[in-house]
Amino acid sequence: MQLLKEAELARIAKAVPVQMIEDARLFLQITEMETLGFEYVIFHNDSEKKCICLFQPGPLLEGLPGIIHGSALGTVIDTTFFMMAYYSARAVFTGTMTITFKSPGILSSVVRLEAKVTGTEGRKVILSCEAQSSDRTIIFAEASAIFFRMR
Amino acid sequence: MLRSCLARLRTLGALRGPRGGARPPATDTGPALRLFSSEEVILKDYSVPNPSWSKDLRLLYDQYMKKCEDGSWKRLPSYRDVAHLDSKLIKEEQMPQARIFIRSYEDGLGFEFVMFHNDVEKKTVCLFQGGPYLQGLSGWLHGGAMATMIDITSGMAASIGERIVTANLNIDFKRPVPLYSVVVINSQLYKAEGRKLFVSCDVRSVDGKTLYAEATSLFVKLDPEKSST
Repeated sequence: MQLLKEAELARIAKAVPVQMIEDARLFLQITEMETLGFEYVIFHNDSEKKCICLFQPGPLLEGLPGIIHGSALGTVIDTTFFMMAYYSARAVFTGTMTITFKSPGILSSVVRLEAKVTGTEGRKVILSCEAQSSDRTIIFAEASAIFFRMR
Repeated sequence: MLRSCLARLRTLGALRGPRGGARPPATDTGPALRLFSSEEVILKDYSVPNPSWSKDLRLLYDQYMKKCEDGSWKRLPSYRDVAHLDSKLIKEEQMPQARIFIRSYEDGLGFEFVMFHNDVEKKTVCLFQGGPYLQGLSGWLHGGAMATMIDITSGMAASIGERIVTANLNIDFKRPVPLYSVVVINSQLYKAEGRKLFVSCDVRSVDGKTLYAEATSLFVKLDPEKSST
């Protein structure tokens, strides 16, 4: 399972060194059993330059009791950044990522992440992202990132 | 479910991690099912060499085990099946860190790592080999998997016995990490202000010549008065 379709991976492979490794699997697909790990879906809106990710963390992603592990949320933030950076700006590698965790996310409750491009500087694409509860009343984390466009 | 695990563990008495596989290893069936099946809870220490460890990882492991001989460095055990432990039951040095998703892979497929801690210098070094199930772009380690290892290693530099949460994580990825390669994550606690713990970290290749990432992070100790369950 990959995040992108074959044709897009082929296009990326022309610009960036990749190697096909047998039996490799996308990190987000940590288990074959449903609902235990990362359950997520990402929507991209090209005209508004936004990406929305809906993420339901399963029990495998626990940090402190009943709470999402910070880096599990960090992984979904990185993935949402990737989709935003790739579809809007053809950028694939994370340059920098900064996450500030504001309040703990509860396991199995849905997190809504929204990422957008806030600027570009030559090959750099600057993005920001917020992870909130589904009703948008609680902010779990705020993040910013810099990705680099492919040549 | 996890609470009943905890109750069962209490009746087993003090929990000591077997070093170097003193107990016969539990047979691994499916990764996630074990958390919920539990008639018996076996504590297996995963931070010891297994057949999936590359030569680089084993050599580094031996070097760091040598450093442990004079007591300045300590190898940290890593468990999977234990979720929450009452810290009053267990002495600080023996506090196992439950890493559920990180240890939910079969040997060699996910996170193969071992951490060594130096309490005087406030450093934690992690030797990490990323397997094929940690892929981001073809052939490279997923940024989130790298962030996970940086977060955990930095957390261990910040504090071993006490419960902490990550408040801020700032990572500068310099070069992508190929799958299967071994990296050395060096983390150092450089400032402590009340409940705040500031850690800096870098990720390098085995020979030290390639810098894969640099990170700074802030951890906060949880208020011991509040119950965390």
